[in-house]
Amino acid sequence: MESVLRLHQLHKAYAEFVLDHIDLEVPGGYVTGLIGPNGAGKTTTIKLIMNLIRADSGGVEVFGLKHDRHEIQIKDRVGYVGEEQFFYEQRSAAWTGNFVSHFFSAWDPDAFDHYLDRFELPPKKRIKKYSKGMKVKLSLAIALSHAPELIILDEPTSGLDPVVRREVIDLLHRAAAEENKTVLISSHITDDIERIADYIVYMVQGRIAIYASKDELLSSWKTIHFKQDSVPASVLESLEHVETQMFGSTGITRDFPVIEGDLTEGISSGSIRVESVGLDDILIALVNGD
Amino acid sequence: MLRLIQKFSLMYAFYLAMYAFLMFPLLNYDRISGPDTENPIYIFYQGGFLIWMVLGALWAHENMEHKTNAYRFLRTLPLGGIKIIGAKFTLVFMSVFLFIVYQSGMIRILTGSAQLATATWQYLCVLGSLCLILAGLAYMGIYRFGFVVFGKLLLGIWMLLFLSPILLRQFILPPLKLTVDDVLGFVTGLNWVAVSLIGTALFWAMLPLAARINIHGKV
Amino acid sequence: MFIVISPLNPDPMYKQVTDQIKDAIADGSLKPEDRLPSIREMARELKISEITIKRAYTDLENEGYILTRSGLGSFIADINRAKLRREKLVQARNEIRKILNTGKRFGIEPSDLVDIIQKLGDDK
Repeated sequence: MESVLRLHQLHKAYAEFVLDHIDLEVPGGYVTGLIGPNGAGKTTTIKLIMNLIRADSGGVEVFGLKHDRHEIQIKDRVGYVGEEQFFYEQRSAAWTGNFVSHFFSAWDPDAFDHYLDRFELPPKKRIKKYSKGMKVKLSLAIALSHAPELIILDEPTSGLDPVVRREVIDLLHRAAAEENKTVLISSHITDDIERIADYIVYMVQGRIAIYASKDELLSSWKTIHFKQDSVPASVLESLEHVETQMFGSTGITRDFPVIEGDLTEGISSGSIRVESVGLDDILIALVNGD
Repeated sequence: MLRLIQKFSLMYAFYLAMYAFLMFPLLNYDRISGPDTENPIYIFYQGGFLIWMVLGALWAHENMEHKTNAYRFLRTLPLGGIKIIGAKFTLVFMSVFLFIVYQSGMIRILTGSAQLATATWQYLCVLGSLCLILAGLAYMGIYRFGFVVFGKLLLGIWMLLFLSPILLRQFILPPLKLTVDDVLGFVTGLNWVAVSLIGTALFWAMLPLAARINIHGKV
Repeated sequence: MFIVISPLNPDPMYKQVTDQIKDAIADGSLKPEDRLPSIREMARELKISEITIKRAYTDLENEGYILTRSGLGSFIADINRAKLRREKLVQARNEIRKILNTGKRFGIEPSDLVDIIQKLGDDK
């Protein structure tokens, strides 16, 4: 599996926050989701990849090219949607499309018009009058209209209503599945990532806490509900964040396949129940674990 | 890059046009209509105006770019810092050049004096070189300290520049027992070709420096 | 009493509550005259809305499993276990029908299932 994006010991220190020597390889042709609480370093990481800020140390390679030396070539092949959208706001979407078309080697004006139409963006209206969600959609339209091999999105769905959000997510999924594009998407709406991601990166406090395939993650993390004193000590040891209340206890495990055997008896007698987790349950466990 | 220059050219075109149609006739009214064509004070003023006009256009352009977060938009596109800032430097350079050509050419046409036109040309080339260096420094300042801070400073300098011919003539030169003629004599005494070459070379050498600061600077 | 509310369970939440209280009555962990937690207390512990609990208690009361004495709270009624048993039998019947249908697709005969049930019963 070839990696399209490689971060090597990437380090950036701010007064209040440190992105701490991150290593990451994003495989080509898949959707990788970047999950983390606010302030975990998702945006910093993405800005470093896009060479919008300078790293203190460490390296970024995109398509095997050094990201600072080959900036123009890389940005030509990357579709980027940032956490904030910037345009010449006195101008229209049509003007913007024409303006940026001069800089991308593979700009497709028909595709751009198609996305404007599909996202219901009035091409002649000043961007200043667009809503936040419309600006995100315009940014997406630009990102998708120059045949990018890698699509990097920083919280793209946060300003969108659920209907458009779903549409955007499906669009990205199709890009990865059918057109073999690579997608790196950060979001705190884990729902979006759960639907389309193949790989998940959890960032907590400037570090990568977990990097695994989604399926692997969801089959090894489980929520366990149990009657007090009904589980063996070995199980109890692998449970995190055990909460006990009047009607039983609940914990989360990251080693379900390991403890599964010890649970069968409790499960059949009804004193233990195992439940699938969502990506946000894992996030909460990771954040509270610190 | 042509597309960028085109996008950025608004303010420069505006200032150049304002000079050509408004300030030039005003500044040169006496010389064109009267017999007093040889008074050096006229040439003296043109130099200040060149710097004032180009820095004015630069400030107005950067102010507009700052307000629209233009750099943050442009940085997401496949444009390196060199291309973005190169377009800006090219506009500065073109403005200085056009100003010198226009000014000297008009003097030649309107006064019919080849000697005066040549003197104007040589004098403005020296001042133009100074202007280029100031513009390069201004860009580095903006990128290093951000437009919010450095833009204000630049605006202050710009206003002082407007008064500088008067300040120079009234308050600075008399105590030094110098006259406008002495200054002009000094400037025209310089090897204008050498100064222009040095000024131009320094200006373009500042481009990669400014780009390096800008890539991660505060704009 | 062991109650788990699961958002993944297709049953509505009030039904999950009533079913599990009935289970607790059936296995004897709740006995007649035992006092149930107040609606508010139950809602807080299970982290679900009071309206849901209220609905569950009303249903249980209508079906005769609990009694509410004003000012004192809700108590387990002295119901005959036969009623519970009947209800469970209906449920079991539905489950067995599902298993039979699945088995049919794989060529598993009802007699094979009877064997399994017999054997599992012997193990206990």
